[in-house]
Amino acid sequence: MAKVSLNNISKTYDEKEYAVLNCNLEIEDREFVVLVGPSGCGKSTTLRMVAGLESVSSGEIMIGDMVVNHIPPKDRDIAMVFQNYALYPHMTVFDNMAFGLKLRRFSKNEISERVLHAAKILNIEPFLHRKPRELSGGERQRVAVGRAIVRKPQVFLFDEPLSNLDAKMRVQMRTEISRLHKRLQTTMIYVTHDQVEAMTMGDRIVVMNKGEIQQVADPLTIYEHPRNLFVAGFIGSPPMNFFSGKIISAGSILQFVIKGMSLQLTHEMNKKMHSYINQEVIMGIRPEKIYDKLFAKTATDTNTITASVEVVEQMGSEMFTYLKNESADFVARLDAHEQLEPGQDMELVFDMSKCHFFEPGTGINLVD
Amino acid sequence: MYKNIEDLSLSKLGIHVFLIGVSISCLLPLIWMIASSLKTQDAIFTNMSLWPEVFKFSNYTEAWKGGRFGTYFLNSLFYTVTVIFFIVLFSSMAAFAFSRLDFPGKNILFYMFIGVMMIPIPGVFVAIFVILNKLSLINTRVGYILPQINAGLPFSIYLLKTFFDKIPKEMEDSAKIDGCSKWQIYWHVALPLAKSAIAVIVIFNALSTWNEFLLANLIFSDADLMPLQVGLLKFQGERVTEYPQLMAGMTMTTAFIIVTYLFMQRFIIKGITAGAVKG
Repeated sequence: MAKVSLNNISKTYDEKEYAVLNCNLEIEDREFVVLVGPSGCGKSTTLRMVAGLESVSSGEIMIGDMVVNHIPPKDRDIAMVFQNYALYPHMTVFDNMAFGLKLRRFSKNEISERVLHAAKILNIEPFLHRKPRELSGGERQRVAVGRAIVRKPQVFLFDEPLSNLDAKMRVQMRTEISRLHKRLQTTMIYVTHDQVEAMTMGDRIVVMNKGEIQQVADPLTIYEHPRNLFVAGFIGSPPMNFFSGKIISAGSILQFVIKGMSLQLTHEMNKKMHSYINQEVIMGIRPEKIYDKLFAKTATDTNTITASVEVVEQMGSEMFTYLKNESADFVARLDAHEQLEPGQDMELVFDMSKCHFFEPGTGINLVD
Repeated sequence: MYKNIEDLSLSKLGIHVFLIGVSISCLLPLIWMIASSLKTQDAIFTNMSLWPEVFKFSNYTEAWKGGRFGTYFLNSLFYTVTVIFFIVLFSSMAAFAFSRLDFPGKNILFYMFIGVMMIPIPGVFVAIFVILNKLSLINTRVGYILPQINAGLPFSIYLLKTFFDKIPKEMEDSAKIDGCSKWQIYWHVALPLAKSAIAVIVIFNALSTWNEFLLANLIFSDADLMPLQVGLLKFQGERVTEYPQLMAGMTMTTAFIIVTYLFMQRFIIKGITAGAVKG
């Protein structure tokens, strides 16, 4: 068990194109950190640099107290689980799990003890003498995890391990990996493009985009206090609604206006947004912070707008309602039992205490 | 084969008749050879039936002992096994390097190997003879083996490289993390996965080495060193040719290659990476 530090690391190709730029990250001992971001954001490259499968162009990677930039993968005391499982098809499940130990010249007894123990944890004992091709996707991924845990490494690395599984299996394996983390108490770094995995599994989430770290925080902080427009839009499903408009001053209070629609800022926001009067800003609000006026507790003329229903997505537990008016398109997460028809007009209340304002150019969150 | 008679259209019937014809034309000489190997010298010319009146199995023992067939057979076996061993060893290492390692001039070198495949082997016989002569390798086993390894390499490298290219990068990464060096990845991962490609290489090169005649005829003068194909020529005496013994020798020669093929066939298994990477 060890902590992992990334000190200003970058990965460049041909000295022009960069995949990762100046990343700084401290991962504590026994922490479960999830790197999340869209395709090509550099999250896998970062993980591969930690693994030693990619060289580091500049900066320093430390595992424990040791700088590992020039140490080959096998000597870094890490184990990695890949998206495509990467099991050896010519070996049985037992041999797949034992391979790393055999190369490290463990005794036969020790190997068999460790493999059986891992197999028991992962419920793959019945498959030990089968070849990978005889297993289902979920079973194969369990073997891949088993291959990692028999080594008892200091750090576990997961590179989108659940992407190839079907939806049900993914949910099951997600819980299993979380449970495994609690049981093994080892540092884990997990890469995914799936924000649900990130939110549910990580102690902390690292959101990446275009090779740069956008925000590092625990899941709830990321969700409620996104540092910028990218994080706000990436985390959350359906994503946060954005409206481009202007802050104007109406006496002592501020308002956010877009064509014919005006919303009054709360007292607290007033202070923070005072210096942005008459400036263009982007307002963001989560779908669950928009209510049907009929059921809203805090409806006033200054936080209510009218829009027409375009599409209704019934989820059973809730209802995603896609709305439109002359100023904007947006989505609200409403009660599943509301009777709404496409085309109908409705009044909606915005919880202005939970909205965010972003600077259009830099995307920085102005209120957090 | 067909669920109902309508499926058996005229064109399909034509194809089948044609293919059966081809099969008979291929099998008939073989059957005739086996039949003749069991006849007496007289019966060869008088009995045209494919079923000998008297089965003379002693043709085989006479050919093996009297006709020095045993020596030729063991020579051929030695040449074939040695040539195949080195072809598999060198071509798999070279193909692994071309596929998985980075070194300067890699592509040029690879295309040179591919280019060599275009040159017909008899076209370079004069050059080979001159080189072997200068190295004093004429009428030696090494002199016969080296050119054949050389001739078998380009195709084998090409085949194995295509094969290694298909091994997922992640499997190599996984092996690296498991603790493999480049050599160990080659030995523990790449080579076992290439079993079916190696089987193809073994069959192709076993066929060409076992059947090789021209080079052996060119460089060997010592009968103790000759392989089967040249040895068989010796059965055709100056005055009398012992046809039953010749046919017995040819049957044994052919049997070896058929057995090799049947044995290796089971290694040509479909989809080596099935199970490794989800498609």
